[in-house]
Amino acid sequence: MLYDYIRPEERMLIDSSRRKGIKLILHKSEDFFCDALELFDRQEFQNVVLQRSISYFRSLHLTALLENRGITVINSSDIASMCGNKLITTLVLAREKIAAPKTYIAFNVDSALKLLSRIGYPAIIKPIIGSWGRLVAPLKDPESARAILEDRANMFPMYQIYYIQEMVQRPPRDIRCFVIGNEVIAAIYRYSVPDEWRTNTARGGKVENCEITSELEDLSLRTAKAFGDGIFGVDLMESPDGLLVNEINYTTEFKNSVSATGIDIPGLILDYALGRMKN
Amino acid sequence: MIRYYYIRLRFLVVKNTMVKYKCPECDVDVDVPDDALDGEIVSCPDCGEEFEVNIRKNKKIELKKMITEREDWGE
Repeated sequence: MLYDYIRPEERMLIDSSRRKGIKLILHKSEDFFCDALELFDRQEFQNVVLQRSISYFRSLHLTALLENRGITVINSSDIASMCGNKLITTLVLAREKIAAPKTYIAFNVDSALKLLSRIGYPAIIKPIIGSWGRLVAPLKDPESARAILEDRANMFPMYQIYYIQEMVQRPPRDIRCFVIGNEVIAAIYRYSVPDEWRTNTARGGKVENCEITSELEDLSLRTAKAFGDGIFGVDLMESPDGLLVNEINYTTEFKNSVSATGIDIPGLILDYALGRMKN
Repeated sequence: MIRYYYIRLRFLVVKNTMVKYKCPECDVDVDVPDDALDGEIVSCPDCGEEFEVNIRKNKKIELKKMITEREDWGE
């Protein structure tokens, strides 16, 4: 397993591996160095590596290096590059005709403001790469939108790809659905807390078990299949027109979900990795 | 806080031996399990600050203040 920090999720995986009698070898991503085409010591890595790095860029590049040496990484670099970029995710969902929030793109402040005047307020702006609701902001009117967009104009170029979405009329919660391989194993509702519209648990969002309906199961499996064979946290919103797929997480966190659902998510992740090893 | 309670719960179940370290922020004792790994996150029971367990080459443990967020961090 590759990691940056031993968070509760990684600790749960380690403890679960001990209970199952699985020898889980730990590699701290930061300590790694190699020739780009040759790992210095191929034996250090098993045939299957569970990627749990917290850093998107480090994880993506390290995964590509390992895959080049014939190692199966869960999740793959293809999955990471698609799920880690919200615009690519949107394009994959559209290709598979999976319902998602309406999404728009602009590349400078003036174009973004013209776009907003055409689609109307409110809307939401998100960085194309990022997580935990970081820098996700509501654009409520032209004045506040200009201020937010101009701020982004002074940031790293990644933030000048203005990824703007409709503000979906949803209850103050969303759904996180866990898919491992071909199976939906658990789902939770994530509720936003007072004075916070985002539902991310990293922002203090509260969780509750969510019944896996056939609609939720079908949509989540179809979504996961569009990205590949792996482990996913599919985020969905309950819109007046039905469920919309919002984002797909490829190194999903689950510490709050185990207690909310009673499902042994770390154990199932390890079983899945073992299955991939045998195949 | 959730992390703290999880870590406490884990200690109760697994019965790890604890080693006490001083919180670099408030000087209160922070329990670190003797099987803690490099990069493991521990919390101060008093100020709630999170620290990364840093295991140096001589096996000496240091508690490094946890950076809570970077631009490309997430899930």
